[in-house]
Amino acid sequence: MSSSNQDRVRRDPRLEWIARNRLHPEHEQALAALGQVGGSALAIEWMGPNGRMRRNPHAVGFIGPNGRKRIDRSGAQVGATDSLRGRAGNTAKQDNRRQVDIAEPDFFIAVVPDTGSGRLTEHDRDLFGLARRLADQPGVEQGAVLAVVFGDSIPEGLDEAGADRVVCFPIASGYAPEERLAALMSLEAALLPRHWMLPDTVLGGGDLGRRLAVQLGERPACGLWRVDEDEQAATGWSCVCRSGSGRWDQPRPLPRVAIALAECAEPVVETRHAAAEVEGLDLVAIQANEGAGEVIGSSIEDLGAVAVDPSAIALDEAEFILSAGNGIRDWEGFHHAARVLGATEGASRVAVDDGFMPRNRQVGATGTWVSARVYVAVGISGAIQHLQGIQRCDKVVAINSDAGCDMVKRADLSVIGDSAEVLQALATLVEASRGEATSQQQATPSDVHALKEVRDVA
Amino acid sequence: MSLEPSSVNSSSVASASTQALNIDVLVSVGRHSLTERPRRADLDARALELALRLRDQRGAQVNACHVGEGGQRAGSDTEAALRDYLGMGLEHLTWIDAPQGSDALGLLDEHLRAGQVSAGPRLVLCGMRAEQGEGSGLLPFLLSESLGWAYVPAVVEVEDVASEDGHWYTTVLQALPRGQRRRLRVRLPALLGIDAAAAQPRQSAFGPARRGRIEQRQLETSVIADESLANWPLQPAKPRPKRLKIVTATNARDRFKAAAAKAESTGGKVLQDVSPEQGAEAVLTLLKEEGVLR
Ligand SMILES: Cc1cc2nc3c(=O)[nH]c(=O)nc-3n(C[C@H](O)[C@H](O)[C@H](O)COP(=O)(O)OP(=O)(O)OC[C@H]3O[C@@H](n4cnc5c(N)ncnc54)[C@H](O)[C@@H]3O)c2cc1C
Repeated sequence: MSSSNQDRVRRDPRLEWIARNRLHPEHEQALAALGQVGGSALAIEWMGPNGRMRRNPHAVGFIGPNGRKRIDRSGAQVGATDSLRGRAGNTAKQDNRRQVDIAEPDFFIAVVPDTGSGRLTEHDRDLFGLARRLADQPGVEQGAVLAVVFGDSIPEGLDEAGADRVVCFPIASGYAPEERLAALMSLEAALLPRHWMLPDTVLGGGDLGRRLAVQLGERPACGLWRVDEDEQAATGWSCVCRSGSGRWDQPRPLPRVAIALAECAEPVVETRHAAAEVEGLDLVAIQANEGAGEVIGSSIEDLGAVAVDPSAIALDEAEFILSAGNGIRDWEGFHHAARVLGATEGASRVAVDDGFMPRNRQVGATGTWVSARVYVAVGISGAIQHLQGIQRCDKVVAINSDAGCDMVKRADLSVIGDSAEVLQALATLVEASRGEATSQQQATPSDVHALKEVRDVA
Repeated sequence: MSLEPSSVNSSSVASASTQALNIDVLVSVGRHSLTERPRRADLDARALELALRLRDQRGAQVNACHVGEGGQRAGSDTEAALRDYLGMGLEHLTWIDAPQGSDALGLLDEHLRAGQVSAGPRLVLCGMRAEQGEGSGLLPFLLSESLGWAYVPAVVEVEDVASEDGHWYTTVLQALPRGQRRRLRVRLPALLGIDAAAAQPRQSAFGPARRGRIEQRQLETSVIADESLANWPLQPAKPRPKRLKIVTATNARDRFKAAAAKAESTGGKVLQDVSPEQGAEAVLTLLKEEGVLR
């Protein structure tokens, strides 16, 4: 009985009539009732009286920014009927990378990324892309990409970059090429990677890779920018290297050690890899090896970073720029803030034209294209000529009295207020925190003496 | 720095009179990047500049040496370029004969070993890369391996040379990216690769360039051909393809947006109606997060 009850379709002609008349005041409720959707949400599809699927074209789409209805036929918006009522749709970014696990690799491709300041650089990602090409040879063999990192922690994003395995050596971040080389050599003995890939950066992979190649007795491919499959080559691959002057190319078979330029391959975008720490490695042996390196005594000792006068740093190299525009009245305060923050000074064209700043400090289309990690724009409106110059900046901070200006749109953080006051407050804050730090250091001079004595005794 | 500067200076001054610092500069022939005219190589000239400054300041002994094809010398491009170095204030320069396409490694190794006259401190300066040929920057690494000396790349300044416990050490500044510097203490003898951020080389003067002597030298070491160049000849560089923006969107709307839309605002945080102190606090937090505040 109950089953026949369910099968029988009951019609409400009046409700259907209202549902067909979209000008009817109860139109939406009728649609909802017919679609048997609870609450006020609109039904898009429902089973019709004869068992056919019915669709409500009016429930599709969303209200655009200017109050007009927009229909997106790409499928991205389907189901987001909430936005029809002006509410923000659910735009949670879905992860559609394919998970790849390689259990038993036939060989390893070792990648030694630079991991500048704890993150993978774009250059590193390109390199991982190249390593994946070499590892994922169709057919016979399946290799695994092994990431070799130095430091206390493994940087994030190695799985998305394309690393199947990770080895982390706890070597501090200072300049210790000999120690790092010893670590790589122990890994070479343990795993014998088929290729070593390093980024061709002056103090990172370029240095370490050449040292490694010399140790292995290999002629490395330096400045590599292209790799092709090649039946004739011993390794099955050939490569093209750019000379140091950039005027010559040298095609050659791909050697074991490759030191590659940026954009040598496309980074991995479609897959996610395990990035599992390698187990069963003879870490004891590796550590013993490292110890041996230290007994011999490394001939290079890192005495730490040197304080550099920020105003002496070229604008395009500077990491942290405090830039002044037409909104600055208190120039003394600006220079003081730059000094306290240790920032390199920049300027907009107006500030330069008005004679407040030298020409070599101008940022923008007709000035310098900067690539700072942090760019603080004080009293700069964000004209297109200026914004062009800061395209490559990582984080932009705007301090401006006008919340509607273009610089605020570009900025990651904007403070709306008077430039002089905010700069003043910022300088005071930094000075205060510095003062605390120095007083803390002064509190422990006895420890320093104790240390010195110990050293003298030794 | 852990060293007390006063003691370091006194020991270095005292020993400077007895054991002069011995500097070898490896110079090559460069080419202007636009006109392709032979000239002194920029990095090598910077290395020589650094050596000459050490000579003026602490009486170091400077020797420059070039390995290259001999043959017809007078008036050759190589000679013109080498005279550029002499014009910087050098009295003589050694030109080691080597046929074209031969490996300079063995010759330099022999030359530098023979150059060890006293027990004094020894430095070898060179540019990090050559301007001609392969220019892979590998030579100093190979040389450091065959001589068993340390190699430090990207050096911009030699601050001090001093002895401690019977060993000679030098403190140098190394150029890091973004204009930063790092101080290193290196045991001598050592090779230093000079960075483009080092001091500008002085001008080459015509008179000293004419007067300077170029000393020809033949070495016994059998010359080996550079197998890399022999096996894989250089070709004029092709322009590298520009990378296309890859859009992996699955639907047309995202692809269209990626292709057509200009960079939208990244939806940054806007602090309105806050006191200057609060605003400054927020900026300071961001600066600390990014680690740019020292
Ligand atoms: C061919 C060409 C090339 C150019 N090249 C460049 C270039 O390379 N670089 C460049 O910078 N410009 C360049 N310009 C100029 C550019 O178009 C703008 O005129 C210029 O960048 C504006 O500078 P500004 O933002 O400092 O000044 P303004 O546009 O006057 O902006 C001042 C800003 O300060 C704010 N302000 C005012 N008072 C205060 C206060 N008390 N506290 C806080 N904020 C305050 C205002 O709200 C405003 O946003 C070029 C122009 C041309 C035509």
